[in-house]
Amino acid sequence: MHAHRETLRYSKDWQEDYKSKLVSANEAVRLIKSGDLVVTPLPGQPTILQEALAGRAAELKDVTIQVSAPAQDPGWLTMGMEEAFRVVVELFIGGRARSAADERRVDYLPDLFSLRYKGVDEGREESASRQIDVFLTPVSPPDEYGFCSFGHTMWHKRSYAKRARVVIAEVEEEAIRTYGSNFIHVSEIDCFVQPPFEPPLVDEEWQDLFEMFNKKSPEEVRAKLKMSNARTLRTLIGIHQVMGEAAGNFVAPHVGLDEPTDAARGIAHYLRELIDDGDTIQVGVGRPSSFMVKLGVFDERVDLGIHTEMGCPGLPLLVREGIATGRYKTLHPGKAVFSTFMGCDADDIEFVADNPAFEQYDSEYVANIRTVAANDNMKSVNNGLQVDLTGQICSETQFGPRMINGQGGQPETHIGALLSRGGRAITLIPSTALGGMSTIVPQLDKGSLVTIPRQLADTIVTEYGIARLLDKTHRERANELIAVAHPDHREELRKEAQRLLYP
Amino acid sequence: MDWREEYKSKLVSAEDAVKVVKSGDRVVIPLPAQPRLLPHALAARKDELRNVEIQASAPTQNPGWYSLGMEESFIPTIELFIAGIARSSHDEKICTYLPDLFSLRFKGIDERRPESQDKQVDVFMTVVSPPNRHGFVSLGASLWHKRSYIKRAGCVIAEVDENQVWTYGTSAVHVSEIDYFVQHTPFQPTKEQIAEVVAGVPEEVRGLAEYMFSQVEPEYYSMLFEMVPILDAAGVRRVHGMLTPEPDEAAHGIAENLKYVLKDGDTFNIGVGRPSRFMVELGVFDGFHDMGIHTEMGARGMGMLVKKGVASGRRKTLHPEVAVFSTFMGCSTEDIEYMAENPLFQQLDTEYVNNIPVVARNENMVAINNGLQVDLTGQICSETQFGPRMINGQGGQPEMHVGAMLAKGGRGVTLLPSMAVGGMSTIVGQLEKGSLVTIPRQLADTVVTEHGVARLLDKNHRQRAEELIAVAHPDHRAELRKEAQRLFWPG
Repeated sequence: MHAHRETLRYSKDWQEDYKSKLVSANEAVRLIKSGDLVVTPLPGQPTILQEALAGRAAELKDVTIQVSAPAQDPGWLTMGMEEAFRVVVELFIGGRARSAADERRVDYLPDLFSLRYKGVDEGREESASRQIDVFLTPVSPPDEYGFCSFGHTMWHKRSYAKRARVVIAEVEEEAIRTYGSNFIHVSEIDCFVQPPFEPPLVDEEWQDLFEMFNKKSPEEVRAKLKMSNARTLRTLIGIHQVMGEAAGNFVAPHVGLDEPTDAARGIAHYLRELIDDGDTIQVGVGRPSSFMVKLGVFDERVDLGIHTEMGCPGLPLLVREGIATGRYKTLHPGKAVFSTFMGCDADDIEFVADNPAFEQYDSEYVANIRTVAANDNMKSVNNGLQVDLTGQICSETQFGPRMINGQGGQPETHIGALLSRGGRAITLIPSTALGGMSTIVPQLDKGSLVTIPRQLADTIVTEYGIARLLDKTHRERANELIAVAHPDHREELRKEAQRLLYP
Repeated sequence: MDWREEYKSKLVSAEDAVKVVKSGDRVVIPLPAQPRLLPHALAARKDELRNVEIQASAPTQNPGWYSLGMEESFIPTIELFIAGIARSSHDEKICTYLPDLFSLRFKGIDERRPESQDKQVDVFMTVVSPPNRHGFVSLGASLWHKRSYIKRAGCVIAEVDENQVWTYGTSAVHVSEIDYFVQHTPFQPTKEQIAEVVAGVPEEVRGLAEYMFSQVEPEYYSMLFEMVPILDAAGVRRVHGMLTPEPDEAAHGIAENLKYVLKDGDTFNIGVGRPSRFMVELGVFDGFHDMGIHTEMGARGMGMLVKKGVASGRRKTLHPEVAVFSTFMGCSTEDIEYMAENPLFQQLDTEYVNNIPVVARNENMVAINNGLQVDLTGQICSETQFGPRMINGQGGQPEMHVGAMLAKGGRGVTLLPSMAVGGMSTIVGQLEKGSLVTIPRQLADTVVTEHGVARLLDKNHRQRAEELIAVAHPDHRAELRKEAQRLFWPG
């Protein structure tokens, strides 16, 4: 693949190459043809490229756009472009695409980071149509050797770039550099576009944001949002103008400005018991897991290690505070391994940039079950939405078939942790949802999607305690789970357990 | 102490041996072959014992605790496979089910998790051969997890059966590792006795009888020997249907389609049950030369694949040239005669053979398992069908399937007859309330029915629905198409 590109790598002439590849967004997206498979990665995502592509809606037919947790809608998530673009969501649905998913205007691709390229790489006939035609990604400007980085959000970007027929990159001036395999050479990219200069926010605009998140101090808002570029922040201001007062609450969880609930605090209290000195940890995206670091779950520990698909606020600072030394890691000792720093705060990102204690590797490696399992005492911390009394965990649907989110890397990090020597797979589930319904249910409703089958369920934490399911029979599992259900629902669950599991 | 003296000092009666069981103990009976006297001797103590947990897999006899009446004394738990004898007991919820995996079975205990401390095995009951000159006994042709349990149990009681064979691999333990021996060799007919019995059956079915004795699993050998002399021609045909079942039309169709999923040089696993057990005898592998075997269990004809040069194992990346099993069970008597004491065949502990990273080290690993039901997103149910009733346990399927998916060039193949008893489609729009998912849809790969091959890896929900509808039974396709439209398209 791309053998001709390799010859250019490390050559001194990359500047010429780069210059010749700099084009306008409109020119760049002309490389896309009807029928192509176009991938935009997990955030950060290119912005002007997507807009330019959507601008060609009238001339294109049947272009598949594969997205993950899209941060913007250039038009294809709403009605009107379905002749030109078919949208497929992988890994995470996210807030922006959720209503399109609910209305079934987008399709879903259930996959895993480590199986994503299996079909194509192994030359399976049936995967020929999965060959990626065009990959759109943000990159940093090239360094003195001609290498660009994927900033603090590497994820699967390099994996896609290596396999796509055409790679179009949007240059982000602010993108940081990190250690690991977070690099791609100018020669491996087909064209570059430079977004127009976006002036930094003026004071009035910051005032607008402070007002939008008025439950938080201006300092906190600024610290949290500093990592987002001016363009994104102006989008937030736009949402505020459209939605008015409601916007703050709506957006807060997406930018990490919401407060942990009482349930999250309760869960943090119990999760602490499950973490030992010397463990290697992974913390999944979403609520309540992303509050766990800031709620002090890891503060009393020493010599933790980090091997994680993504970040959460405060996770990198565990390294600065001497809590996560990585001393006992059996894979990448002394290094904190991430596939992306997304989810982290501005302080965290400032600390990881150019810091050899941190490495970003491709998600196909970091989340690979075998890689995860190579870490002894691996503790995976993920979120579930619902669990039945046998231990089947739904992390994508709740009370029926509606998909609230995709699975992300959860199946891989969970199974990997279970296979790790001394490992434990932990699932956090607030005991109630939707105004008081129990998330612990006797049976899954028709159409539910199981993310973790019960043979692989291990440790469930609610705000009422810890349910330990490994090694437990159906009856014992029911007892464990009922003991950590919301007290209002225990009686009913006990009755159901009696009916389902006893003569 | 010399092992011979030690052995002699440990020889007791079944009744004496089970005295070691105390109220509140956890007793494990492994996958077959299972001890025959010990469970009954234990059941006879029901009045003196309270809350003894009996954990068994695919039990082959009911000493009473699978019916009502002993629940004060014994709590029966099933792991891995439910199978015939325990099925109605599980339906009536007399026994409960332990969902586990071979490679996670001992995790909690080995890693000293506090919550697993009450999961220590107090007493383990098994079948062994008499000791050899080095003081080792063989676990026969059905190693499975037996050695794994012996290594961890507080007390091990073994029935000594002279018919247990020797094999290569890890299928032997030392006399010193076992606490009590009970001598019991079930009757097994000689070749001459069988020839005599076969000569006595009506001529029209004599060939059938001969075939049965070569193909039946050793477990049923002596039963067959006792039955055959009292049967008429119709009876022989009936027993033949029971003990050496013939593949139905769907299995024939699935075998034809499975051929296209395999290529020479693959290493494969064949799961228990139907229709996978018929795949070898239906000739799916016969056109190949360099297949490799890395399997949890056997299937009729699997030993012969090595003999015939189909499975040379030459291209295996783990244990090259050796066919690896965790048990020879599932193979025919003829197979096992060839496999026993043959270094081309090894039995290794299930916790190793089925371990996901071990499976994944076999390049081009193809896991062939059975599903009972699949929904249009690709969620595979191999334990329940049309609702919450468990028909069987998962066995090693999740491990073999996931391991194959992680193997370079590997494939996770699920065989699924398109219709269940009564003509209902096994491919459904959505899973019913209470269904148990064995393989989540992110890990679903290749589903084979008698109508074709559905390839799900890399496919969106809509494409998966199309793939699956194309291999559903033709009578159900229109209905499924409507369902797919409703579930996956705006409307």
